[in-house]
Amino acid sequence: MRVTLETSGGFTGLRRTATLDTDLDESLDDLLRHLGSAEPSSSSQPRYRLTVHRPTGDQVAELTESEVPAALRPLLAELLRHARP
Amino acid sequence: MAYRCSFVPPHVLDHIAKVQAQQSAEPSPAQRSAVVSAQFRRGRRSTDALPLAQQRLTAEPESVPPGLTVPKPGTAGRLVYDDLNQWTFDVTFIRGEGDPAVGAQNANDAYDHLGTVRAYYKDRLGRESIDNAGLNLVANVNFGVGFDNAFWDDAGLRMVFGNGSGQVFKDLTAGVDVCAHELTHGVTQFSANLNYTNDQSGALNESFSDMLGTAIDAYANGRDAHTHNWLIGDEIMADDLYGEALRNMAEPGTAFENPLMGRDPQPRDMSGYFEPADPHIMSGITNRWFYLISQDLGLDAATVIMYQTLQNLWPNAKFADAATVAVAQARILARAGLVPRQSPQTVRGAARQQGFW
Ligand SMILES: [Zn+2]
Repeated sequence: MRVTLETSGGFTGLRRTATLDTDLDESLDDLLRHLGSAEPSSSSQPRYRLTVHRPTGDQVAELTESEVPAALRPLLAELLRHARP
Repeated sequence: MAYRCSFVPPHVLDHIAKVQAQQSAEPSPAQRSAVVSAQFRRGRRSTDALPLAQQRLTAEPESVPPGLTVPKPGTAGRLVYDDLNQWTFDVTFIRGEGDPAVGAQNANDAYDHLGTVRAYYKDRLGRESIDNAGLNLVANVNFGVGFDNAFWDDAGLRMVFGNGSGQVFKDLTAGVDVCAHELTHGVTQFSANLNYTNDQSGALNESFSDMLGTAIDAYANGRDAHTHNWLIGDEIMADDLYGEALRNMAEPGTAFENPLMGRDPQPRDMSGYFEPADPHIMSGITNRWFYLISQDLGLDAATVIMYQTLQNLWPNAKFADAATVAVAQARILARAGLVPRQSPQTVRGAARQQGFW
């Protein structure tokens, strides 16, 4: 599955993006669907906007640093390593 | 779950707060209501928001190594945690208020910067910590792996610092402006509570953190309005990016241009304004307003005017509201002999130069 990350917020406020093709196992896939239904909070924390490009259409999840579930960390870390302006 | 209802429509409370802000230096009951009401409005959207009464205390360490001091709640005491490069908070408590320095430079820097920010707020602005009620000051260092950011955790009431990737940023404890900026987000949370949204309220929230952040940076380095460099984040740039910065308050839009960061997107004034926009983009417009005021009145006078403005603004305030309140506060402060007599005219003139008055 193709996944896009857009960063913003925190002290630096830098907006960077990365897109990766990755294998989403079933539990991560479920997690991303679940996160997509939550309403993003208003805060100055670092913010991650994840777009999962599904065959049925794009699905967006937006969350702040302290809301990131542990199960999402490896994918997020990989995306952050590739993030560019 | 209990449904919380606002009996007075939010825009009416906001209007009352706005009118009263022009008449008084202290936040009025209506201003406080507008803040609380906005917190309720926010709380409704978020299922895990804590009740207000529980938001005012920081967490206590789960275990305390022998010899370390846990400050009493409400004493503005410092607590430093080492997150051991995990992506979780408050992992190991390593230094409390008054405890001797530890081996790690970043932990000691965080401790010292918290102390500098606390002293500035108390000695110069008469404020007792973040909430003006002695909230303890919690810092987390070594959060995550190569984490290129720092932030105020508005739910957990703590400051969090990454080590930086070494490519773009080094350890984010390296500059006092980082700590001062982020703790000021906490001060804003407990005063104007400006919405952090992609409009002028969000830009103001971000800008007040840069204003107080840079004032405290100048104070810590013995600089005045003319000798200060007006750069945000210049001390945390990685070695290869030496000389770049994150924001330039004197000349927004000129802080950086390089392949790792892109190009500084801040417009200099309202002629470059658009919406929606990230708060970090449009904050430059009011950052330069503060810079211009400082050039005429000095940094101390400009800062006390802006601090009083922050105490009297409200969640959905716009740039013009900030100008109106700042002028009202400048008049009150000038009459009390605390800022120069021409302060109201300087505040208006700088706002007109920036295009929002
Ligand atoms: Zn900020």
